[in-house]
Amino acid sequence: MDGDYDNALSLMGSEERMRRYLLRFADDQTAPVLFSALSRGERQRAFSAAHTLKGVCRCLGMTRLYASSRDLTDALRAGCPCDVSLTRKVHSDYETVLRAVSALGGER
Amino acid sequence: MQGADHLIAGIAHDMRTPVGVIAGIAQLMLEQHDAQAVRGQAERILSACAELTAMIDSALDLAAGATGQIALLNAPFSPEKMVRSVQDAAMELARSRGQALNVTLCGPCARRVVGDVGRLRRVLMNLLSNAVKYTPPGGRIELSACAREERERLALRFCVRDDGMGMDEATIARLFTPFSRAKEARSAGIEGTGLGMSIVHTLTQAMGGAIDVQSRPGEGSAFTLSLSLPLAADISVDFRGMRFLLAEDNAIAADVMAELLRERGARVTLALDGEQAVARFAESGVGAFDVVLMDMLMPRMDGCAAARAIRAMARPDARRVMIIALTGAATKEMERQALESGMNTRAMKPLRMDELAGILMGNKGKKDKNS
Repeated sequence: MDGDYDNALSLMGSEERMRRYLLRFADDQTAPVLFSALSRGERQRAFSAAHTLKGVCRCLGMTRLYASSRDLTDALRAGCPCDVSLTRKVHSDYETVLRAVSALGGER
Repeated sequence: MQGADHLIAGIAHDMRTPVGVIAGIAQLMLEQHDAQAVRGQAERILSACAELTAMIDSALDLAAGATGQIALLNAPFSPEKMVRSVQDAAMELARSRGQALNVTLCGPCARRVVGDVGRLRRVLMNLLSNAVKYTPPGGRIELSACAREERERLALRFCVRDDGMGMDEATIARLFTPFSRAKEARSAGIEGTGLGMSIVHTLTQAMGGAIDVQSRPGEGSAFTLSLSLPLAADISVDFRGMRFLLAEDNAIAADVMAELLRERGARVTLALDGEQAVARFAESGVGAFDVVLMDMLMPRMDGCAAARAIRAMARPDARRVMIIALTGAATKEMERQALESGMNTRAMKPLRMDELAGILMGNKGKKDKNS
């Protein structure tokens, strides 16, 4: 899922904690709220969710999803018309993360 | 002597622009009575002063570098945070020219090392602003930072790549000589005196690093800076007995931070937005919190409004509790907003415990000095 393991580990302090929060991320509603807000054209709600998603990704070292959610946050902040390719990129990166986290859950 | 003459002439030429801006704006301020307009003008003066200060610092470094007398200001820092702060500043430059700036990090860039972060930052900013200058609108600029641990050191490799006009071999050969600029740059009307690359070279050498250039005309350029810095000793972080009010709307980030703080002996009260933070503070006893960690962007009430509300409370601890802004971007504007709203300082998210310990120690030092 293109993550920065070393950085996230040095921030979180332990693999157990990292794993726990990654699994929790899979159940977190921020990304679903973002996609729903985008599909309804609720720009402010979408901006808020994209900003939150960006923060979580940075915290958990998910670099690719962090980069795409940051670009989407910047676009929404600037009031640009919603670029479909940006939204698709966030969606695809999110799906990649979910698959990786699901595999992580299976290792338990 | 000819080199010194050139240096003086080049710097003096560049200094005329910001000095002219300052004089012109000061004149406008004398004639202006609208507070909002005066504020905007004062901000432009500060920005011109920052430009002048950077030039003066560069001139001093060049002069000291010529005699091998650059005194490095070594202190612990995180290369990752330095890159993020460079990214924020360079992003503005790139956007103003309609260019895309992509930043990637790999390896343990967050490990703290001991080095001169100010000068390393200046080297990277020079490389990036050069890339912006020599890349046409719509072009792409990439900054990558890779770290690798080598025993007690961190080997760092920064690469700034652009798809701009590139350089021929003759230009590359004299690139690090002061005042050397490609004739294509002059004919294209690109501003600059040709000191930037010479500063990059001087500072890189002073830090014990090396710089490599790969470029071909019309095919862009890639500058690679390699540097090995000693790892900083881990600061023992202990928050026993400290009471934190943590305002953060992102539940995962809040829980991670709370867990890390509690693990180090702190007591943590959570608030999920600015309104809750103000309410938690208002309903607590006097002196219940030592530190408020305040996210800047939160729903219902943002961090600045919440900080103002806390500072305005009629209780003795409202003005003295330490409030630290938590921001995802290290922009000057964000810092200004945080300080204006009464916060003491700001820290980058995700918050690292050693960095928080450093901030708190610095604040204690200030308090001890003032008492």
